[in-house]
Amino acid sequence: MNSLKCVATLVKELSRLPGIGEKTAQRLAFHILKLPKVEAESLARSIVDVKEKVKICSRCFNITEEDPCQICRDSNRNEKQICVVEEPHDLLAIEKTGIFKGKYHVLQGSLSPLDGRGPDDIRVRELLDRLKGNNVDEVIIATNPNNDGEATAHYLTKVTKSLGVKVTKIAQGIPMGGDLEYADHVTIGKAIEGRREI
Amino acid sequence: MSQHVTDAVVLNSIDFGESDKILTFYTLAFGKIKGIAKGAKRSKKRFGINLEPFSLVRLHFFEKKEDSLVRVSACDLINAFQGIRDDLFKIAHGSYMIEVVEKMAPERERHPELFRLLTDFLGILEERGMNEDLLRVFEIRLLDDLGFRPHLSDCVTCHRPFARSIDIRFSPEKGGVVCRGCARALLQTMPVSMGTIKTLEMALKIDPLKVPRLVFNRDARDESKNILRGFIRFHIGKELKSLEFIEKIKDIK
Ligand SMILES: [Zn+2]
Ligand SMILES: [Zn+2]
Repeated sequence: MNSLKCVATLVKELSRLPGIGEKTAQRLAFHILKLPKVEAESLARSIVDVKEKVKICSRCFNITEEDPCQICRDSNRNEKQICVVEEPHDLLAIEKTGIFKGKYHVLQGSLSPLDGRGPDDIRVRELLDRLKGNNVDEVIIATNPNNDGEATAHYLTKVTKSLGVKVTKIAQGIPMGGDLEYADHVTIGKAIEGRREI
Repeated sequence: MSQHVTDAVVLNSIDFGESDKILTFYTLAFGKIKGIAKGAKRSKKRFGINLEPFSLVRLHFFEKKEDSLVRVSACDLINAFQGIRDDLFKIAHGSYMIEVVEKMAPERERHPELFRLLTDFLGILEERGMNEDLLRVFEIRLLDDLGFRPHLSDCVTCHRPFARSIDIRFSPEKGGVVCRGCARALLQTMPVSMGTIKTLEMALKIDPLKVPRLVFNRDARDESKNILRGFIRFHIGKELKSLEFIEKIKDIK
């Protein structure tokens, strides 16, 4: 094994991915080794492509290939509602329900009292700028129902209300201590419908 | 492999891999322990809020000799301290309390009085909120419980008694009050007055649940904050993240 330096490198790179241990990485590496050349090349190219083509939307901070992103450009969506999420995968989870027809703001993280992460470490100022510029009627807070997400929600409520914008928060459905990413569609859909003013 | 059950406060919870969580607990029976909850991210019914910081739980775990992390098999919620979670500043101050415990307490060292101090103060924070004086009482008692009680009765180095504020300083390095003469040989010392020493001695004795009756005067408030924070920083070796957070949100009303 030690003599196959490039295989070892591939195993090492793969084992750095989340949830991939040494053994899984080895299995994947040998699978890739057996792939037809075109398939292996297409896998490699797709990895390079996401790094080269995917950028951050300058309005909502979602990941996108074109700036502004498709959702920001969609004139059929309600500009007066902005749903605030922590990460792009949270946006994706809400989009899959098909229930929400407004726009989004991706914070690219959350406040974290135990990690010392404050408002200036995520895209809060950019959200407030959007609220000042546009005629936004409602901000819907959809942060994760864990401690960091709750701290973020409390903070956003305070600063958004001080701008005179109505604030709602997704309520029932999502259990505390969880992640939006892993909630089922029905739960997320109910949470959007059951939002309330706070 | 042995099975254990003990009451525990969740100090920290970090996602690990696809579905697991790595947790730090302060337990009644074992002191601080670290463990892994397999499948915690997916199994909301089994865990959920029970694994969020602040939660007081009945922790069931087992350990294999070769692993440094215990395996969390169940966590029954005793108190979620929901009142803390409903307020940004309570979250911030509660985070400070659990971070100090996490950073100061050595692993596997049993201090039941520290467990009670933490749960008492989480209760006080939930019901009445926090203020600077209460935080000082929490800090000095935590130091006391862990065997770092600041030496306040005479000079910690030469044991000369003192009577006037002008004659004394506080040394985080020595862990107590030093006389002027001894202070000269030390790199970092802080001002401390006789009044502050009396207040801190009282803070060590008072029943925590009657703590609101203890009111620090202005000098005692500034000095004791300086001293206790300096002492804790000296032991941890760096700034606490939760204090950075409190600083970052302090201008919000
Ligand atoms: Zn966009
Ligand atoms: Zn001395």
